[in-house]
Amino acid sequence: MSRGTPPRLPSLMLRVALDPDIAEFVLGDLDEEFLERAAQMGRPRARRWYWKQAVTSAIRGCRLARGTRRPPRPASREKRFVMPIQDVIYGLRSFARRPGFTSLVIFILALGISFVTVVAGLAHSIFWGSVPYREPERIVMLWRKGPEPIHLREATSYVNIRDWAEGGAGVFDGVAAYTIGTSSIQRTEGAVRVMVTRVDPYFFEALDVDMAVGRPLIEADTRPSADDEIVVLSYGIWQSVFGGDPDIEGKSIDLGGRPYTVVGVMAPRTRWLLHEPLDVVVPIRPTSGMYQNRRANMLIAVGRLREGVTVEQAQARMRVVSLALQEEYPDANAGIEADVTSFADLRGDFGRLNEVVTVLGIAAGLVFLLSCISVTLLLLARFVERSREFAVRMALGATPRRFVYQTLAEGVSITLVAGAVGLGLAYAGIKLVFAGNPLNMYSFTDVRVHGSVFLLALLLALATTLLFGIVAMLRRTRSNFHDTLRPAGVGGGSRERNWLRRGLVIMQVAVSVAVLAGAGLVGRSLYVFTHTDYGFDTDHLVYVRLLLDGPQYDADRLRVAYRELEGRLAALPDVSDFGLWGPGLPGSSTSFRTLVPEGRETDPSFAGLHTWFHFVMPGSMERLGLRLLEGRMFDETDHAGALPSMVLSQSAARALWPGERAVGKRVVDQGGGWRTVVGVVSDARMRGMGRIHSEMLRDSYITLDQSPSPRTNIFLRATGSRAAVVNMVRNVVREIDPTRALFEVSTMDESMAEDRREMGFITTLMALFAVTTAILTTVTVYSAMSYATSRRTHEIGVRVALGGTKAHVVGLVLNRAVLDMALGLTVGGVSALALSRVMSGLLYGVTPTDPVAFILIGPALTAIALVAAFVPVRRALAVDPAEALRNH
Amino acid sequence: MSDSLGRFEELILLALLRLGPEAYGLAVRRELEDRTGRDVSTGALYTALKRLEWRGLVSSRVGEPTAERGGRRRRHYRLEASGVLALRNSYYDYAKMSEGLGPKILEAVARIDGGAER
Repeated sequence: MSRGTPPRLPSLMLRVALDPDIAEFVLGDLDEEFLERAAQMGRPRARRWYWKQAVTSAIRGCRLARGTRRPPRPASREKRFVMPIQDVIYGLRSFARRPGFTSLVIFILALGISFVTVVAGLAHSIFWGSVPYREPERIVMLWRKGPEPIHLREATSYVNIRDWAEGGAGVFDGVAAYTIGTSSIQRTEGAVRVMVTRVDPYFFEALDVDMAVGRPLIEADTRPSADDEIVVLSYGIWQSVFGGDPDIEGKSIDLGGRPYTVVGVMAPRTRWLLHEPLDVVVPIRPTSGMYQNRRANMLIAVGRLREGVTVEQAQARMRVVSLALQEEYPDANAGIEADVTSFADLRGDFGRLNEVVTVLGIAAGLVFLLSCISVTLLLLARFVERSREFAVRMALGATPRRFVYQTLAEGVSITLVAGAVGLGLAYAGIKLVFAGNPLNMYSFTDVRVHGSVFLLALLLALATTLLFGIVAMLRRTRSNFHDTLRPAGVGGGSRERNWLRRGLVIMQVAVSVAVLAGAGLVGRSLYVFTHTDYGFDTDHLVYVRLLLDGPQYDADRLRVAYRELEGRLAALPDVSDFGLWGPGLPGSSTSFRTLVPEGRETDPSFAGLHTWFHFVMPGSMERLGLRLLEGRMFDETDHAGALPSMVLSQSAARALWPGERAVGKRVVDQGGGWRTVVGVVSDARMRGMGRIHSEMLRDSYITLDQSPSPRTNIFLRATGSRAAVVNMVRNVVREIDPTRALFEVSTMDESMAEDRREMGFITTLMALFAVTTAILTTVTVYSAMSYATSRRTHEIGVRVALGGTKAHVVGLVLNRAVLDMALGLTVGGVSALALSRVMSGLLYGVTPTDPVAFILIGPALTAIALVAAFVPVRRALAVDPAEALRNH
Repeated sequence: MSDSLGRFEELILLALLRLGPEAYGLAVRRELEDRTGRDVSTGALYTALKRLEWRGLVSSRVGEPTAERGGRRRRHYRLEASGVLALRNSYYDYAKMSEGLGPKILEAVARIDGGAER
């Protein structure tokens, strides 16, 4: 028989590998054919053939080969499609039977979905909706780079930018200078604050601006003719302020108290220049003295690189140009270079808005996560409640698959309904939330619901509920349903499902902590902000910006003009306080000077102290409300011919001479030689709502007489209306120089209100998130607790029967919940710290680890948990031992 | 799972049609190998037959054990009505698509051969 035996090894291999359904027949066929082949062509060839067959058959016919598993029987196929429909109907019916529960679940999910959708709409509007430039890689920004690192990317003078443009003609297609300020559009229904960008006409070409209406600015617009002011509006301003007036072109608008003729409206895509909104654009009139002054550092530039030129090549070229300029203007340009930065590198930087959106986005995402967890826990609890029903139905012949279908059908239908509700909430929310233009951005007129974002949120919600639903279901169907047919609670769920549930609860508490902490910090910021001591009296303050530039205003002429102005202001009726203050506003100067204290001027390791710089008229500081802490305020003795004097803010004095008296000491003032400190005043704080560093409070003051600046602010404290006050000032200024117009009027309250509004907006949203979080957490803890209690009814009954006290029972119910809370609080505390770091830029006068915000969360959440636990605990206490044990 | 037949399945059904009701695995495999000239794996064949049986296209019957099979039984397959219909659909599709294309295919092949020579 040796001739007839096929090789053993492949045969054995086949026996192991083959799908048992076909093994017998495959082996039989191979044996049979092997015999025939061996007879025909000899054993060696037959063996070779057998080996080949064995290998291919082992692969193609093994247990894991495709097609060896049984597909659904065709007979059951029709049922498969019918059953889910039945299940959906059944699921909907069972939801309808419990409208309260159902609407709670739907509402929770809808909230989560709508939050995410709204915030994503905002983010889209800011970040992704605003890449409006053709070939952005060719757009570059040019800044002044000083010799010291702090002078990176600063404004420079107009003439300097023109020199850069000329010198860089080989690498740039063109360079446009621009400067951004604020002003207001006066309408009969009130004033609207806007960002005003003054530009060279090439600006429109550099950024490739399309026009929706009219024309862009052109070279001819820069001609000096004061009566002929023109303006280009952004699409957002056109829509929101002028209601999209189709005849806007050629109309005159009041911008900062002067008439401007609208020549065009930019297309909607052009809304931003870096992180500043482009509200209105006006041409630079370069002939005025301010633009011819090489020291008037107030513009930056945007340029377009020539085709094929890299940023590095442009930077190299500008280095050469800068060196030439340094030689040509050794005074003004000493150490000054042009910094060329690719626009694309800066584009993502929206400054504070980045942070606003990041924080809101994280918070909304967390709330969304919370809502998914809550819904899952609710569905889970409901599933357990219904396990008896399932058990009965199964005993009557239903298959576990039906329950899976039913749970899935329920999950899907409830999520879809929630999605629809969420969509409605999102639409309404966007209308409500952005109605008052809270971020003061007219560029945001198009915050809207994005279908893709909404769908993503919906899909995520579906995925989450289904995933958890299926996990719970599978565990359930695997465990024995018959247990559940026994009296309530005996036996109960498996350990793993408890871990799933407990994990979810812990996660929920942790996320709540993070959201609540964020909201707490923002809320604290708002409180601190509205209760900030500015260091001066902000009540009824009105500022008017004044510019006395041009060749006729030399230093002496300015001194005379300011004295005259002061005299006339003093004579005004109903004006309690007044003053002259330049170049910025108190507490918010944007120009700074470096001071070096005497004795350290040769110290190479000390670069000097940067202080914010102010020119004031004697008397202005005390009338504004700054308090004298040391020495004296300025007086008439600090005139032009006298010893150069200086007053420092408390923070500046402390930084220069820690622990010493500042008065009488001398500093080298970067711009003007030696100065003697004659006084120290309280800090003035008003620099936006960002972080308060002590560096921001370092102010230095010099009299206008000793350093006459063409740019000043007149401030007044008057009882009359704003319009009346402005009118008075206008008349006074006209008496001094009839050619001057007041180009910006603002009240202190206004500029603070803006910051407050932005902060209020963030706070409102965060508060909304926090309230939602609190509700969700209550629901979750409640459902978890009542579930735990109901599962242990039997145990409680036994304990009570054996003489357990009430305290015992309460402890029994609470111990695990308390442990979970503690775990959640700990995890949440850590994640909240991480979140708070992200949002540090949004905080005002509050550190990211602010103890008040953090300490409040623990008790708040514990209180929530106690409220949520109240009902289940009461239910546990009411357990009647006889009833609980009866069926056992 | 789609209702259409795979290429391999088509060939198996055709073999069964030709061999008649008493066909078993070995005979089918030989028929396939003889006519197409390609090696056919026994394991793959039975896997496909199992699949066809699930789909109700063929049915099978287990025979008696024999000595030359090492005491193992044979499994005989026969074409069921739905298998015949499936085969008909496949055949019609193929026939319709290839109608009158014979000369064209040959011509195209000739062109390829000619191109290769050039």
